[in-house]
Amino acid sequence: MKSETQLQNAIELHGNMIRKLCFLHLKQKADVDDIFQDVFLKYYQSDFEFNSSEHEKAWLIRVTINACKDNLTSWFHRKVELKDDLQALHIEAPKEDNALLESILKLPKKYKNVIYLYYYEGYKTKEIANILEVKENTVSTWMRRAKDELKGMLGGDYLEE
Amino acid sequence: MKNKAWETFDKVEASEELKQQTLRYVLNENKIKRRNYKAPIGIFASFCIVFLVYFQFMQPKTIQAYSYITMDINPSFQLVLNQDDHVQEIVYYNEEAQSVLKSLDMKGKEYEEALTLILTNKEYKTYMKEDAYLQVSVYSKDEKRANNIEQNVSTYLNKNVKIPHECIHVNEKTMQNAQSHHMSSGKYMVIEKIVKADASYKVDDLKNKSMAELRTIYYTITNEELDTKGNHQNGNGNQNHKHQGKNQ
Repeated sequence: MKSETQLQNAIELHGNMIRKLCFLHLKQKADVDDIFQDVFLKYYQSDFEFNSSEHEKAWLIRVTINACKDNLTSWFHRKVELKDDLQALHIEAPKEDNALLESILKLPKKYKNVIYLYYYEGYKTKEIANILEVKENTVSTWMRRAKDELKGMLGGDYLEE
Repeated sequence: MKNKAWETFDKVEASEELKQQTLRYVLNENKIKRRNYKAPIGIFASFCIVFLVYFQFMQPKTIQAYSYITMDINPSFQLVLNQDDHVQEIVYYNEEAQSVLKSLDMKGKEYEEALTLILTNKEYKTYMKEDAYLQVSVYSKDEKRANNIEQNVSTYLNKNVKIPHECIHVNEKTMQNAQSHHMSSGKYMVIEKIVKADASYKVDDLKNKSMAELRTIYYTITNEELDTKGNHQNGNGNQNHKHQGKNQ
Protein backbone atom coordinates (compact mmCIF):
# COMPACT_ATOMS: atom_id res chain seq x y z
CA MET A 1 0.00 0.00 0.00
CA LYS A 2 1.20 3.49 -0.78
CA SER A 3 1.82 6.21 1.76
CA GLU A 4 -0.34 9.30 2.11
CA THR A 5 2.50 11.39 0.70
CA GLN A 6 2.81 9.15 -2.35
CA LEU A 7 -0.93 9.46 -2.87
CA GLN A 8 -0.83 13.25 -2.59
CA ASN A 9 2.07 13.43 -5.05
CA ALA A 10 0.35 11.16 -7.54
CA ILE A 11 -2.86 13.19 -7.41
CA GLU A 12 -0.91 16.38 -7.90
CA LEU A 13 1.26 15.00 -10.68
CA HIS A 14 -1.20 12.90 -12.64
CA GLY A 15 -4.59 14.25 -11.54
CA ASN A 16 -5.11 16.40 -14.62
CA MET A 17 -4.16 13.61 -16.98
CA ILE A 18 -6.56 11.17 -15.27
CA ARG A 19 -9.32 13.77 -15.40
CA LYS A 20 -8.77 14.26 -19.15
CA LEU A 21 -8.85 10.52 -19.82
CA CYS A 22 -12.06 10.17 -17.82
CA PHE A 23 -13.50 13.12 -19.68
CA LEU A 24 -12.69 11.49 -23.02
CA HIS A 25 -14.63 8.36 -22.19
CA LEU A 26 -17.40 9.26 -19.81
CA LYS A 27 -20.51 11.23 -20.46
CA GLN A 28 -21.42 12.31 -16.96
CA LYS A 29 -19.48 14.56 -14.61
CA ALA A 30 -20.53 12.35 -11.70
CA ASP A 31 -18.99 9.34 -13.46
CA VAL A 32 -15.83 11.27 -14.20
CA ASP A 33 -15.43 12.17 -10.53
CA ASP A 34 -16.22 8.61 -9.40
CA ILE A 35 -13.67 7.01 -11.70
CA PHE A 36 -11.11 9.66 -10.79
CA GLN A 37 -11.45 8.73 -7.12
CA ASP A 38 -11.54 4.99 -7.76
CA VAL A 39 -8.35 5.12 -9.80
CA PHE A 40 -6.50 6.77 -6.95
CA LEU A 41 -8.02 4.36 -4.46
CA LYS A 42 -6.58 1.50 -6.52
CA TYR A 43 -3.29 3.31 -6.68
CA TYR A 44 -3.22 3.82 -2.90
CA GLN A 45 -4.08 0.19 -2.16
CA SER A 46 -1.70 -1.29 -4.71
CA ASP A 47 1.56 -2.89 -3.66
CA PHE A 48 3.00 -2.33 -7.11
CA GLU A 49 6.51 -0.85 -7.07
CA PHE A 50 7.07 1.70 -9.83
CA ASN A 51 10.49 2.13 -11.42
CA SER A 52 9.88 5.77 -12.31
CA SER A 53 7.30 8.49 -12.54
CA GLU A 54 6.75 7.55 -16.21
CA HIS A 55 6.14 3.95 -15.21
CA GLU A 56 3.64 5.15 -12.60
CA LYS A 57 1.93 7.37 -15.18
CA ALA A 58 1.63 4.51 -17.69
CA TRP A 59 0.09 2.30 -14.94
CA LEU A 60 -2.42 5.01 -14.07
CA ILE A 61 -3.38 5.47 -17.73
CA ARG A 62 -4.05 1.76 -18.12
CA VAL A 63 -6.06 1.57 -14.89
CA THR A 64 -8.09 4.65 -15.85
CA ILE A 65 -8.91 3.35 -19.34
CA ASN A 66 -9.96 -0.01 -17.90
CA ALA A 67 -12.06 1.66 -15.19
CA CYS A 68 -13.81 3.79 -17.81
CA LYS A 69 -14.42 0.71 -19.93
CA ASP A 70 -15.93 -1.10 -16.94
CA ASN A 71 -18.11 1.88 -16.16
CA LEU A 72 -19.42 2.10 -19.70
CA THR A 73 -20.17 -1.60 -19.91
CA SER A 74 -22.07 -1.60 -16.61
CA TRP A 75 -25.76 -2.47 -16.76
CA PHE A 76 -26.81 1.07 -15.89
CA HIS A 77 -24.84 2.67 -18.69
CA ARG A 78 -25.88 0.10 -21.24
CA LYS A 79 -29.55 0.71 -20.45
CA VAL A 80 -29.58 4.42 -19.71
CA GLU A 81 -28.39 7.05 -22.14
CA LEU A 82 -26.94 9.98 -20.25
CA LYS A 83 -25.01 12.87 -21.57
CA ASP A 84 -23.65 16.12 -20.25
CA ASP A 85 -22.41 18.67 -22.72
CA LEU A 86 -19.07 20.44 -22.43
CA GLN A 87 -20.62 23.30 -20.47
CA ALA A 88 -21.89 20.86 -17.89
CA LEU A 89 -18.34 19.63 -17.60
CA HIS A 90 -17.23 23.21 -17.00
CA ILE A 91 -15.34 23.50 -20.29
CA GLU A 92 -15.56 26.94 -21.78
CA ALA A 93 -13.81 27.52 -25.08
CA PRO A 94 -14.38 29.27 -28.42
CA LYS A 95 -16.74 27.27 -30.59
CA GLU A 96 -14.10 26.48 -33.23
CA ASP A 97 -11.73 25.10 -30.59
CA ASN A 98 -14.49 22.95 -29.21
CA ALA A 99 -14.98 21.36 -32.60
CA LEU A 100 -11.91 19.11 -32.36
CA LEU A 101 -12.67 18.13 -28.83
CA GLU A 102 -16.29 17.34 -29.64
CA SER A 103 -15.19 15.30 -32.64
CA ILE A 104 -12.66 13.31 -30.59
CA LEU A 105 -15.38 12.59 -28.05
CA LYS A 106 -17.44 11.04 -30.83
CA LEU A 107 -14.69 8.59 -31.79
CA PRO A 108 -14.75 4.95 -30.70
CA LYS A 109 -12.99 4.34 -27.39
CA LYS A 110 -9.84 2.76 -28.76
CA TYR A 111 -9.35 5.60 -31.27
CA LYS A 112 -9.81 8.24 -28.58
CA ASN A 113 -7.08 6.65 -26.54
CA VAL A 114 -4.45 6.54 -29.26
CA ILE A 115 -5.23 10.06 -30.46
CA TYR A 116 -5.03 11.45 -26.94
CA LEU A 117 -1.90 9.54 -25.98
CA TYR A 118 -0.10 10.32 -29.22
CA TYR A 119 -1.05 13.94 -29.83
CA TYR A 120 -1.66 15.23 -26.35
CA GLU A 121 0.61 13.18 -24.11
CA GLY A 122 3.30 12.82 -26.75
CA TYR A 123 3.73 9.06 -26.47
CA LYS A 124 5.29 7.15 -29.37
CA THR A 125 3.40 4.37 -31.10
CA LYS A 126 5.50 1.70 -29.39
CA GLU A 127 4.88 3.22 -25.96
CA ILE A 128 1.16 3.41 -26.63
CA ALA A 129 1.22 -0.24 -27.67
CA ASN A 130 2.87 -1.11 -24.34
CA ILE A 131 0.42 0.93 -22.30
CA LEU A 132 -2.65 -0.45 -24.06
CA GLU A 133 -1.11 -3.93 -24.26
CA VAL A 134 -1.73 -4.26 -28.00
CA LYS A 135 0.57 -4.64 -31.00
CA GLU A 136 2.30 -1.61 -32.41
CA ASN A 137 0.67 -2.23 -35.79
CA THR A 138 -2.71 -2.18 -34.15
CA VAL A 139 -1.95 1.23 -32.66
CA SER A 140 -0.90 2.51 -36.09
CA THR A 141 -4.08 1.17 -37.65
CA TRP A 142 -6.27 2.74 -34.99
CA MET A 143 -4.40 6.01 -35.41
CA ARG A 144 -4.93 6.04 -39.16
CA ARG A 145 -8.61 5.23 -38.85
CA ALA A 146 -9.10 7.82 -36.12
CA LYS A 147 -7.51 10.52 -38.25
CA ASP A 148 -9.65 9.55 -41.22
CA GLU A 149 -12.80 9.81 -39.12
CA LEU A 150 -11.76 13.19 -37.72
CA LYS A 151 -11.04 14.47 -41.21
CA GLY A 152 -14.48 13.39 -42.25
CA MET A 153 -16.07 15.19 -39.30
CA LEU A 154 -13.97 18.38 -39.38
CA GLY A 155 -13.29 18.66 -43.09
CA GLY A 156 -9.53 19.06 -42.64
CA ASP A 157 -6.47 17.88 -40.76
CA TYR A 158 -6.83 19.79 -37.52
CA LEU A 159 -4.46 17.48 -35.75
CA GLU A 160 -1.49 18.36 -37.90
CA GLU A 161 -2.04 22.13 -37.86
CA MET B 1 3.25 18.08 -30.44
CA LYS B 2 0.18 19.97 -29.31
CA ASN B 3 -1.37 22.40 -31.71
CA LYS B 4 -3.78 25.19 -30.89
CA ALA B 5 -6.82 22.97 -31.17
CA TRP B 6 -5.61 20.95 -28.20
CA GLU B 7 -5.57 24.03 -25.99
CA THR B 8 -9.24 23.44 -25.23
CA PHE B 9 -8.21 20.16 -23.77
CA ASP B 10 -5.84 21.92 -21.38
CA LYS B 11 -8.91 23.34 -19.68
CA VAL B 12 -10.02 19.86 -18.68
CA GLU B 13 -8.25 19.47 -15.39
CA ALA B 14 -8.81 18.18 -11.91
CA SER B 15 -9.94 21.01 -9.65
CA GLU B 16 -8.36 21.47 -6.24
CA GLU B 17 -11.72 20.55 -4.75
CA LEU B 18 -11.74 17.21 -6.63
CA LYS B 19 -8.16 16.50 -5.57
CA GLN B 20 -8.97 17.15 -1.92
CA GLN B 21 -12.19 15.15 -2.12
CA THR B 22 -10.26 12.29 -3.68
CA LEU B 23 -7.60 12.42 -1.01
CA ARG B 24 -10.22 12.32 1.73
CA TYR B 25 -12.21 9.60 -0.02
CA VAL B 26 -9.21 7.33 -0.55
CA LEU B 27 -7.92 7.72 3.00
CA ASN B 28 -11.38 7.30 4.57
CA GLU B 29 -12.21 4.37 2.34
CA ASN B 30 -9.10 2.75 3.55
CA LYS B 31 -10.05 3.40 7.16
CA ILE B 32 -13.46 1.91 6.46
CA LYS B 33 -11.77 -1.11 4.95
CA ARG B 34 -9.62 -1.41 8.03
CA ARG B 35 -12.75 -1.35 10.16
CA ASN B 36 -14.39 -3.85 7.89
CA TYR B 37 -15.41 -6.79 10.07
CA LYS B 38 -15.69 -9.20 7.14
CA ALA B 39 -12.03 -10.03 7.18
CA PRO B 40 -11.76 -10.71 10.93
CA ILE B 41 -15.00 -12.70 10.82
CA GLY B 42 -13.66 -14.69 7.89
CA ILE B 43 -10.43 -15.38 9.73
CA PHE B 44 -12.31 -16.29 12.89
CA ALA B 45 -14.65 -18.61 10.96
CA SER B 46 -11.68 -20.27 9.26
CA PHE B 47 -10.02 -20.71 12.63
CA CYS B 48 -13.17 -22.28 14.06
CA ILE B 49 -13.42 -24.71 11.16
CA VAL B 50 -9.79 -25.71 11.55
CA PHE B 51 -10.31 -26.01 15.32
CA LEU B 52 -13.41 -28.18 14.91
CA VAL B 53 -11.84 -30.39 12.28
CA TYR B 54 -8.76 -30.76 14.43
CA PHE B 55 -10.68 -31.73 17.54
CA GLN B 56 -13.22 -33.83 15.69
CA PHE B 57 -10.93 -35.84 13.46
CA MET B 58 -7.30 -35.08 13.93
CA GLN B 59 -6.90 -34.72 17.65
CA PRO B 60 -3.79 -36.61 18.71
CA LYS B 61 -4.77 -39.74 20.51
CA THR B 62 -2.76 -38.67 23.54
CA ILE B 63 -5.13 -35.80 24.37
CA GLN B 64 -8.40 -37.67 23.93
CA ALA B 65 -10.08 -39.00 27.07
CA TYR B 66 -9.97 -42.74 26.68
CA SER B 67 -10.24 -44.43 30.06
CA TYR B 68 -11.55 -43.45 33.48
CA ILE B 69 -10.69 -44.64 36.98
CA THR B 70 -12.91 -43.50 39.82
CA MET B 71 -12.01 -43.90 43.47
CA ASP B 72 -14.37 -43.55 46.42
CA ILE B 73 -13.68 -43.88 50.08
CA ASN B 74 -15.19 -40.76 50.84
CA PRO B 75 -13.02 -38.47 48.87
CA SER B 76 -14.62 -39.17 45.52
CA PHE B 77 -12.85 -38.40 42.27
CA GLN B 78 -12.08 -39.59 38.79
CA LEU B 79 -8.81 -39.89 36.93
CA VAL B 80 -9.30 -39.29 33.23
CA LEU B 81 -6.68 -41.13 31.19
CA ASN B 82 -5.57 -40.62 27.62
CA GLN B 83 -4.91 -43.43 25.20
CA ASP B 84 -1.41 -43.82 26.59
CA ASP B 85 -2.83 -44.38 30.10
CA HIS B 86 -1.51 -41.08 31.37
CA VAL B 87 -3.63 -38.90 33.63
CA GLN B 88 -4.90 -35.96 31.62
CA GLU B 89 -7.49 -34.63 34.05
CA ILE B 90 -8.76 -35.12 37.59
CA VAL B 91 -12.47 -34.65 38.26
CA TYR B 92 -13.35 -33.99 41.89
CA TYR B 93 -16.81 -35.18 42.93
CA ASN B 94 -16.72 -33.72 46.45
CA GLU B 95 -14.88 -31.11 48.46
CA GLU B 96 -12.93 -33.71 50.40
CA ALA B 97 -11.40 -35.00 47.19
CA GLN B 98 -10.47 -31.52 46.10
CA SER B 99 -8.96 -30.66 49.46
CA VAL B 100 -6.90 -33.86 49.65
CA LEU B 101 -5.77 -34.16 46.05
CA LYS B 102 -5.29 -30.60 44.85
CA SER B 103 -1.67 -30.57 46.02
CA LEU B 104 -0.81 -33.76 44.12
CA ASP B 105 0.74 -33.32 40.72
CA MET B 106 -0.76 -36.23 38.82
CA LYS B 107 -1.29 -34.79 35.37
CA GLY B 108 0.81 -36.47 32.72
CA LYS B 109 1.73 -39.36 35.01
CA GLU B 110 0.84 -43.00 34.39
CA TYR B 111 -2.17 -44.13 36.39
CA GLU B 112 -0.11 -46.53 38.53
CA GLU B 113 2.17 -43.69 39.47
CA ALA B 114 -0.87 -41.53 40.24
CA LEU B 115 -2.29 -44.32 42.43
CA THR B 116 0.97 -44.43 44.39
CA LEU B 117 0.83 -40.68 44.91
CA ILE B 118 -2.75 -40.90 46.16
CA LEU B 119 -2.41 -43.91 48.41
CA THR B 120 0.80 -42.69 50.00
CA ASN B 121 -0.57 -39.22 50.60
CA LYS B 122 -0.80 -38.43 54.31
CA GLU B 123 -4.18 -36.77 54.13
CA TYR B 124 -5.66 -39.52 51.99
CA LYS B 125 -4.38 -42.12 54.41
CA THR B 126 -6.48 -40.57 57.17
CA TYR B 127 -9.57 -41.83 55.33
CA MET B 128 -8.24 -45.35 55.05
CA LYS B 129 -9.50 -46.50 58.43
CA GLU B 130 -10.39 -50.06 59.28
CA ASP B 131 -14.12 -49.40 58.93
CA ALA B 132 -13.72 -47.65 55.57
CA TYR B 133 -14.29 -49.18 52.15
CA LEU B 134 -12.41 -48.24 48.99
CA GLN B 135 -14.44 -48.60 45.83
CA VAL B 136 -12.59 -48.32 42.53
CA SER B 137 -14.25 -48.47 39.13
CA VAL B 138 -12.77 -48.55 35.67
CA TYR B 139 -14.26 -47.66 32.32
CA SER B 140 -12.50 -47.57 28.99
CA LYS B 141 -13.61 -47.10 25.40
CA ASP B 142 -11.71 -50.28 24.70
CA GLU B 143 -12.94 -53.38 26.51
CA LYS B 144 -9.52 -55.03 26.55
CA ARG B 145 -7.95 -51.89 27.91
CA ALA B 146 -10.60 -51.74 30.66
CA ASN B 147 -9.84 -55.33 31.67
CA ASN B 148 -6.15 -54.62 31.66
CA ILE B 149 -6.45 -51.49 33.81
CA GLU B 150 -8.84 -53.25 36.18
CA GLN B 151 -6.42 -56.16 36.55
CA ASN B 152 -3.47 -53.86 37.20
CA VAL B 153 -5.33 -51.68 39.69
CA SER B 154 -6.65 -54.73 41.54
CA THR B 155 -3.19 -56.20 41.80
CA TYR B 156 -1.85 -52.88 43.01
CA LEU B 157 -4.60 -52.46 45.61
CA ASN B 158 -4.29 -56.02 46.86
CA LYS B 159 -0.62 -55.43 47.42
CA ASN B 160 -0.78 -51.96 48.95
CA VAL B 161 -4.19 -51.41 50.55
CA LYS B 162 -5.01 -53.04 53.84
CA ILE B 163 -8.65 -51.96 54.15
CA PRO B 164 -11.60 -53.63 52.39
CA HIS B 165 -11.65 -52.61 48.75
CA GLU B 166 -13.01 -53.55 45.40
CA CYS B 167 -12.15 -52.78 41.79
CA ILE B 168 -14.79 -53.31 39.15
CA HIS B 169 -15.16 -52.22 35.60
CA VAL B 170 -18.39 -50.62 34.53
CA ASN B 171 -20.22 -50.36 31.25
CA GLU B 172 -20.83 -47.22 29.26
CA LYS B 173 -24.40 -46.78 30.46
CA THR B 174 -23.39 -46.81 34.14
CA MET B 175 -20.60 -44.40 33.32
CA GLN B 176 -23.00 -41.99 31.58
CA ASN B 177 -25.62 -42.22 34.32
CA ALA B 178 -22.99 -41.53 36.96
CA GLN B 179 -21.72 -38.52 35.05
CA SER B 180 -25.23 -37.17 34.67
CA HIS B 181 -25.51 -37.21 38.51
CA HIS B 182 -21.98 -35.82 38.83
CA MET B 183 -20.69 -38.76 40.81
CA SER B 184 -18.21 -41.54 40.34
CA SER B 185 -19.41 -44.61 38.48
CA GLY B 186 -18.35 -46.90 41.37
CA LYS B 187 -20.49 -44.98 43.83
CA TYR B 188 -23.37 -44.67 41.38
CA MET B 189 -23.40 -48.40 40.85
CA VAL B 190 -23.75 -49.03 44.60
CA ILE B 191 -26.41 -46.33 45.00
CA GLU B 192 -28.32 -47.81 42.09
CA LYS B 193 -28.44 -51.12 43.93
CA ILE B 194 -29.72 -49.46 47.10
CA VAL B 195 -32.44 -47.58 45.21
CA LYS B 196 -33.41 -50.77 43.45
CA ALA B 197 -33.71 -52.55 46.80
CA ASP B 198 -35.63 -49.70 48.44
CA ALA B 199 -37.26 -47.11 46.21
CA SER B 200 -37.68 -44.69 49.13
CA TYR B 201 -33.98 -43.84 48.74
CA LYS B 202 -33.10 -41.24 46.14
CA VAL B 203 -29.81 -41.07 44.26
CA ASP B 204 -29.15 -37.47 45.23
CA ASP B 205 -29.81 -38.19 48.93
CA LEU B 206 -27.12 -40.85 48.93
CA LYS B 207 -24.44 -39.26 46.80
CA ASN B 208 -22.62 -37.63 49.74
CA LYS B 209 -22.38 -40.82 51.81
CA SER B 210 -19.09 -42.65 52.13
CA MET B 211 -18.73 -46.06 50.53
CA ALA B 212 -18.76 -47.76 53.94
CA GLU B 213 -22.02 -45.94 54.82
CA LEU B 214 -23.61 -46.95 51.51
CA ARG B 215 -22.67 -50.58 52.06
CA THR B 216 -24.13 -50.44 55.55
CA ILE B 217 -27.38 -49.01 54.15
CA TYR B 218 -27.53 -51.78 51.59
CA TYR B 219 -26.89 -54.39 54.28
CA THR B 220 -29.61 -52.85 56.48
CA ILE B 221 -32.15 -53.03 53.68
CA THR B 222 -31.32 -56.45 52.28
CA ASN B 223 -29.54 -58.18 55.14
CA GLU B 224 -26.95 -59.18 52.56
CA GLU B 225 -23.45 -58.02 51.74
CA LEU B 226 -23.38 -55.92 48.59
CA ASP B 227 -22.23 -57.95 45.66
CA THR B 228 -21.41 -56.04 42.54
CA LYS B 229 -20.03 -59.06 40.78
CA GLY B 230 -21.32 -59.64 37.29
CA ASN B 231 -23.80 -56.76 37.23
CA HIS B 232 -21.92 -54.00 35.47
CA GLN B 233 -19.47 -55.70 33.26
CA ASN B 234 -19.45 -55.91 29.55
CA GLY B 235 -20.00 -59.57 28.82
CA ASN B 236 -17.19 -61.30 30.62
CA GLY B 237 -18.51 -62.09 34.06
CA ASN B 238 -15.08 -62.66 35.56
CA GLN B 239 -13.86 -59.09 35.67
CA ASN B 240 -14.69 -58.14 39.20
CA HIS B 241 -11.92 -58.03 41.73
CA LYS B 242 -12.96 -57.92 45.32
CA HIS B 243 -10.68 -58.00 48.28
CA GLN B 244 -11.87 -57.85 51.84
CA GLY B 245 -8.54 -56.88 53.31
CA LYS B 246 -6.70 -58.59 56.12
CA ASN B 247 -9.14 -57.53 58.78
CA GLN B 248 -12.30 -58.72 57.08
